[in-house]
Amino acid sequence: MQIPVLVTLPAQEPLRESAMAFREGRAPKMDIRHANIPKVLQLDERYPAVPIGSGRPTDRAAAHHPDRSETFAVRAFIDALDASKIPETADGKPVFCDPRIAPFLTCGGTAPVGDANDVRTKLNVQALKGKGLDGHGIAVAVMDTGINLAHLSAKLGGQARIDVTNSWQTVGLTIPPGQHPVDHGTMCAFDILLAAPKATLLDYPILSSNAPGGSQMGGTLSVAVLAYAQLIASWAVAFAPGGAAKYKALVVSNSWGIFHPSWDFPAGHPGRYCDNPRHPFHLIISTLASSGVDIVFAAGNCGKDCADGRCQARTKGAIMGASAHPEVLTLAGCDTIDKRVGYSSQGPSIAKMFQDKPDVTAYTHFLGSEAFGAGSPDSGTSAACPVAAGCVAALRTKVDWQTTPPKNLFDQFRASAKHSGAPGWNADYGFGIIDPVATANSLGV
Amino acid sequence: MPKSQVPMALITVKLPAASRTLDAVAAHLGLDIADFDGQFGVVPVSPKEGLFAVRVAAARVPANYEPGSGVEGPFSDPKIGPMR
Repeated sequence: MQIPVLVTLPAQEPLRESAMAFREGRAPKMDIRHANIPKVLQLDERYPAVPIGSGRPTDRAAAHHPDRSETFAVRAFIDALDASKIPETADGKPVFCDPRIAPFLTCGGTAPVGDANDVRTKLNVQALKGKGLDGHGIAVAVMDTGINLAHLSAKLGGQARIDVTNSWQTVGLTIPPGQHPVDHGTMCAFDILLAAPKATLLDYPILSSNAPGGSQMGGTLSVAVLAYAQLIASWAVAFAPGGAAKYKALVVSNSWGIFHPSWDFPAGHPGRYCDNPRHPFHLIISTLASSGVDIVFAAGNCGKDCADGRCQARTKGAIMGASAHPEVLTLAGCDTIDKRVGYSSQGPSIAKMFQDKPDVTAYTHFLGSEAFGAGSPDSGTSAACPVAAGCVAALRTKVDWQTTPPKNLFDQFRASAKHSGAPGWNADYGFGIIDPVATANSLGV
Repeated sequence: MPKSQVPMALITVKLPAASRTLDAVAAHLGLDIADFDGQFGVVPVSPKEGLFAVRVAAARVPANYEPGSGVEGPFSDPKIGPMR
C-alpha cells in the first residue's frame, strides 16, 4: 500500500521554485518532479515544497524564505505493507509521518460553539414564524429540575408563558411552579422556546431534590411514573377536545435518563428497566403516546469520544430505557457547525430495545440560557432534546395530533432531517440533523 | 423504621375498572393498606390492559409473582439524572 509521508530535502532549484510559486500564488515555472529525491519515494506533485530554513529551532523567519532556505519539506508516498514497515530514513533523509487529522470534537469542557441566535438561524425560526408555526396554543411539559421564570424571561427579553394550574403540584413540592432555583430545568425551558416562543410551559420538577422520592442526586424513576400519570389525567380532562380544550397539543421534553446499567436491577432480572419493554414506565409512555402526546427524549451523554464520567466508560448500547422506546423521538446532539458533539450517545440502543436510535440530531453546546453561569453553554443531549421539543411544538401549531399522530409526525421529522453522510440511519446522527421547515413543507404547511 | 425509609417495590396489578383504589388493590393482593405508598397511589399504566402500578413495602412482595396472576414485579426503580 502507498502510505503518505513527509521528508526533508536539501535546497534545490525545483523545490525553491515550487515554494516561491506557491507563495506568489502562481504556477511554478519548473516541475517539482525534477527534484532529486530518494528512489523509494514517489513525490506528491500536488503538494508544494515548504521551506523550513536550516531545520533548527533557532532560525529566524528570514531563513524560511524560499530563496534562503537550506531545506524543504515535501510530501511523498512510500510503498509499505503497513505503517510499521516504513523505514526511518530514505537515502539518509529522515521520513516523517503524515497522519490523518480531524477537527477536535466538542466535548464537555469545550467553550460554547455559537449562541442561541445561531441555533435560531440553523432552525430557520424566521421561516417557521412566517408559516405561523410559533407554538401558540401548545403546551410543553418540562420534566426536569423545575423552571425559573424570572431568569427565563430576563434571558429571552420578554415574558415566557407558564401554566401554573396545569403544572405538577403534588405533596412534597413546596416551591411553586416557575419559581425553582435556576438550574438544568431552566436551561431546557429556554431551549424549547427558541423554536416555539409562544408555547406554554408546564413545570414538572421530577428531578428536583424535593420531588416525591427525590434526592440531591436527582429522583428515581417512580417519580417520573407519577408525573406521567398526572399528565395522562390532565390531558384527558383538561386538554382533550371533549374537555376544556385549552391546548391544541401536548409535547413532553425529557432531558434525563440512567447513565449505566449498574443503576438498574441486574441483567436478566424480569423487573429491569433499561432493556425491558414490559417495565411500567415504558407502558405508561405507550399510553401517553397513543393519546396523541409527543414525547421527546435525550439520547444520553455516553458518546465514545468523550463520555460523561457517570457512563463508567460504557459507550456501546448506551441508549437505554425510555430513550430507546420506539414511540419517542430520541435526540443526539451536534454543535452549531453541524458536528456531532463527542459526548452524544451513539446507536444502536441496548439489546432488547428498539435498535435504530438516536432518531435525529439537534443543536447543543451553544451560549443560551447561561443557567450554569455567565458564559456557560447549554450543553449535553439535555439541550438538544428541548431544542427539538420546541420544533415539535412549533409544528403542532398547525399540525393536528388527531390527523397526524406522534408516530406520523416523528416519521416526517426523520424523513426530512438533513443527512450527514449517506442517506438513511447512522449511529451518530440517526436520520440526520433536524430541519423543522423541511418537515413543515413535507406536511403541506 | 419511619415509613418514608421503608424500602418499597414497584409492581403492576391488573384490575377491573371498579377496583382502582388502594383499598381494592390491598384486598386484591391480601395486604394491609399500610403496606402501600399512599402518596404514589394507584397509577394507570395501561388503561387498555387494565394495568395499574403501585408501590408496596418490599418485604411484603415475593421474589416474583405466579404467571397469569395479573400481578407483575417487582420492577426496578433506578436513580435518574439530567443528561447534562
